[in-house]
Amino acid sequence: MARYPATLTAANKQGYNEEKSFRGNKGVPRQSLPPLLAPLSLDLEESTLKIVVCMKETPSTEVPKSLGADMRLARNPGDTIINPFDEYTIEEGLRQQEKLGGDVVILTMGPGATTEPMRRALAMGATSGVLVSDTALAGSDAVATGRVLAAALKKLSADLVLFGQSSADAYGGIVPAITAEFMGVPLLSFATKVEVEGNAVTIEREADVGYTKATAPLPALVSIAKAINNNPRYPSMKGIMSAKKKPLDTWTLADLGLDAGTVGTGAAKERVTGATPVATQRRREIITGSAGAAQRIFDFLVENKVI
Amino acid sequence: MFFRAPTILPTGNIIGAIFFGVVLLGAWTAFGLRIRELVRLLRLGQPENRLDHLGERISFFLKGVLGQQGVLRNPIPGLAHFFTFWGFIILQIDALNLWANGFNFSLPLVSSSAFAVILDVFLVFVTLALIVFAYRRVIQRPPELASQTHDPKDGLIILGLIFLVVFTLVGIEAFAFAATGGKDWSPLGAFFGTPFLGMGAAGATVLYRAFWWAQILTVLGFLIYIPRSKHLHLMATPFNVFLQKSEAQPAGALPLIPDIEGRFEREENVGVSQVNQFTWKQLLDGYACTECGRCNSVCPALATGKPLWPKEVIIGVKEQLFADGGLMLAGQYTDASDELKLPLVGGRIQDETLWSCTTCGGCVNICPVNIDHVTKIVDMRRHLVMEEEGRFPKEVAPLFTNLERNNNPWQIRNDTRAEWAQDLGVKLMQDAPECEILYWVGCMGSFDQRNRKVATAFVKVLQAAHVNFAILGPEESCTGDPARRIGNEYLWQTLAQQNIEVLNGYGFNRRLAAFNAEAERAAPGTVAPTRKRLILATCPHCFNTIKNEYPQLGGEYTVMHHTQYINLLIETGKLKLPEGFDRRKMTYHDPCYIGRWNGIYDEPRRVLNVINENGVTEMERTRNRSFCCGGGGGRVWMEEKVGTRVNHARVQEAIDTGAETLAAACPFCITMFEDGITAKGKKDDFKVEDLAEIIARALEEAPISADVALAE
Repeated sequence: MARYPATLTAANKQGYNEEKSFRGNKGVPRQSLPPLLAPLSLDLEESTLKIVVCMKETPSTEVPKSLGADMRLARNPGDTIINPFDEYTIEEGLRQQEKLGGDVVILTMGPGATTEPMRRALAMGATSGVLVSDTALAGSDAVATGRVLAAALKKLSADLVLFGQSSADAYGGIVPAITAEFMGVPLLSFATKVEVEGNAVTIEREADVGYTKATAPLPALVSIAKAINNNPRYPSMKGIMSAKKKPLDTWTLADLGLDAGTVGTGAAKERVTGATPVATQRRREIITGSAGAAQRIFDFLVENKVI
Repeated sequence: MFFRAPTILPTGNIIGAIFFGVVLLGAWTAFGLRIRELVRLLRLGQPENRLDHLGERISFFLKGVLGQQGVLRNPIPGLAHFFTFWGFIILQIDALNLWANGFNFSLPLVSSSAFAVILDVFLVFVTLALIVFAYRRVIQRPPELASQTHDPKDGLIILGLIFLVVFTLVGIEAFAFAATGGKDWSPLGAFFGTPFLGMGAAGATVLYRAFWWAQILTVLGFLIYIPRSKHLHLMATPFNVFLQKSEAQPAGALPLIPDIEGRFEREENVGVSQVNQFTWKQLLDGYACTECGRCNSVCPALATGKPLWPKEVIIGVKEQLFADGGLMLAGQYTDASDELKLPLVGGRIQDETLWSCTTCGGCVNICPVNIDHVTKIVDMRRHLVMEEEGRFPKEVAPLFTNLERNNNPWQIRNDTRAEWAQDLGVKLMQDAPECEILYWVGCMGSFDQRNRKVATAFVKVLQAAHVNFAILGPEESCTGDPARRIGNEYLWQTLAQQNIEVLNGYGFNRRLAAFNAEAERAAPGTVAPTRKRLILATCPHCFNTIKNEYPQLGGEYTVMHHTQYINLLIETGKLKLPEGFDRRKMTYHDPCYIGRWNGIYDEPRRVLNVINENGVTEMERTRNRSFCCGGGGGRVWMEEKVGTRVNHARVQEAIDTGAETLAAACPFCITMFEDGITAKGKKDDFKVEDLAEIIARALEEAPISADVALAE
């Protein structure tokens, strides 16, 4: 069972350490022989690592994107897929589970979250899923999203929380940090390698030269960089079939003990005030006629330092 | 008397006859027990109906078994086999008579001099054949005869036994002639027996009996040995030829797995990982294999250093049947958990072997005993893809995901599918639902830059012939061919059903037409007349799947490949071509999926012969021997890391003809060949062009036909 410190500062004091190698509180290696009668342990929960992958539904790449009247992306519930960045994250979660055991829970939030992407994540091999779905969530900004996710993650007693680096529709990339703050646990961002050892998680993050190594005690949040490039698995038929029977819970704000006033359009501190299509203006020059055309082309290329 | 006694009783007396009876019974019992075991092993397989279309099957038998059609395609060993086969039949009839002799009677006709002449002629031919076979096995040693699983000595043992049979028969004839003072006449008997006439009847009789026993024991030894050796094919092949796919089961169609989801629910297999998950007919293939290795000699994967020996796949399945099947019959088989046991997939047959196959069908086509290698390979791929977790080349995962999400192999939105045709004045089916001819463009024609040119060219040809046609545009999805051949049957079914719904919506289904015609007969005037509708495809893979595989899901369509249709347009005079317009030296590559799998060899050549002055300069391997471009079976979506490249090998062969243009008829072939040509640095002096492009250019450059060529 994960226990969360009250604040991020407290979390840092607990041993969050960046930029240098750190061994988590793995404990002293056993030197002596184990006692003949090992103390009977019934604390099973302690031994099960709970990995929660936060997944967003994003519009399918197949569907042309358009803006709604509120100048936000028009979402068609039938045509959503797993946020492509989150596919890497699910893959990473599953690989950690294969190594360490425990469960991988998929957490999705949205006003009308659908089950299709969730089923696919379960088909890839996740253990169970939770949808936080409440009409009051419509129009939530990143802060509200973080608030809700943090509440759900606490309710789930997550040990290791994995996020994709950002969503492929909004590209905000700040929800992991906001969620970490609400939970009061450390965030290791943009990981290209994740290693859980004992009670700590260590990541590698690509830097200009080489990489940064960062370690934090569990529970912790890790956001996975696209650069991890871990070939997300294609669900097998077996996976697809078993996904239909895997537990999938739907929670409302009430289930999380959250006030509807703290989320949704009303609470949003960020508003879309306008939207304009990207105007691609190509600088071009049309040369007509044959007289002097070659010279002009030559001059143009020289002017533009092509030749 | 009808069964008269032989001149000499070979068993000597009643005790000898009884002893012979016991030996005969013992040998037949040993034979029978083995056959019983082999049949029980076959029955472990899954059910499959191979007794439809009996008339056609009888013709298979007459041509394939009695006519030896399959082996005769390779003339020298084929002819040798022909005489061994017929010699064997004649010898067996004679052996029956020799057995009868042991019980003091003879068979009518067989004891005649006329039969002796026939027999001796065949003995001479069989001896000649034995020399050919021995030369091949001992001196020539073609690589295809080698095997990793089976000792090639097996073949020599058989040759030795056949020689013994022939030798002892000649001995019998010679000493029968000598012992009866020339009364028991036969050509070889007289030839070899005359020198022994002087030795006296008693001595010759003793030698006659010795040869008779040697003959009997050799033949009975053969009887016991055959079903335990590779010469099991002697017994299984006639059945295998008779039971091959009938016309109702088109060659180009892979078997359907009905109710995949239900099978998963019931925890039944959807691919093959255990030998008893093959059908009994697939298992019979193993019995029928003669290990001649013709499949190995034509395999493009093997030729370029991939770990795929089609023959070893067939032998592997057979050996697995003997190993696991024996345990299954004894009730001692436990699945995968036993670490010591060699699994079928990943053990006896490696994953890499299965992924090397391009499903070109060269092996299936050349096999003289109608073995189906490709179906087995795909069945095992189905296990890897659908039942295992990601046991396939990693490049395949994005392909599947894209097919699922975008209905095409790329990350391209499918609603842009008709963009290539924007400026060509091509109608969309949704705007012209009455249109009777649909051009099925396929993903390559719709999205691939190079193949868009082919689609454009074909459109120009159709327009020149005033064909009223439309395309589906965004309503078209990948036919699912790559998914199916890689082993993702589930995805294939999803895509196929989607397409079938669209096609049925426009009234293309023949079954629907028949249904409507029936309804119209029952209540005239109530049903709108259904027209004859036609689908044209420039991609052989689309063509094959729609034509041969969609019927499995209820979609029966009339489909033509564009090479067939262009030929038809020319033959019916709708398309006038400048004859002999093209003067380039040209060679033509037969794509596997219209050639071998669908028998379209002549139409493209006819078209090229009209347009090109020089006709077609054939490559070394052509028509049904055509060598795959390397792109089939989903291989075009996978990396080719092992060995040399299939496309390079084929491009070299095309260049070696001295041609300047390679005419192709498949988008994947074009892509593979252009890659190969670029890699060989021949980009400037060797071109690949689709048949449609060649025709379209001729139409453009010489719009008014025939006279142009004649005038020059």
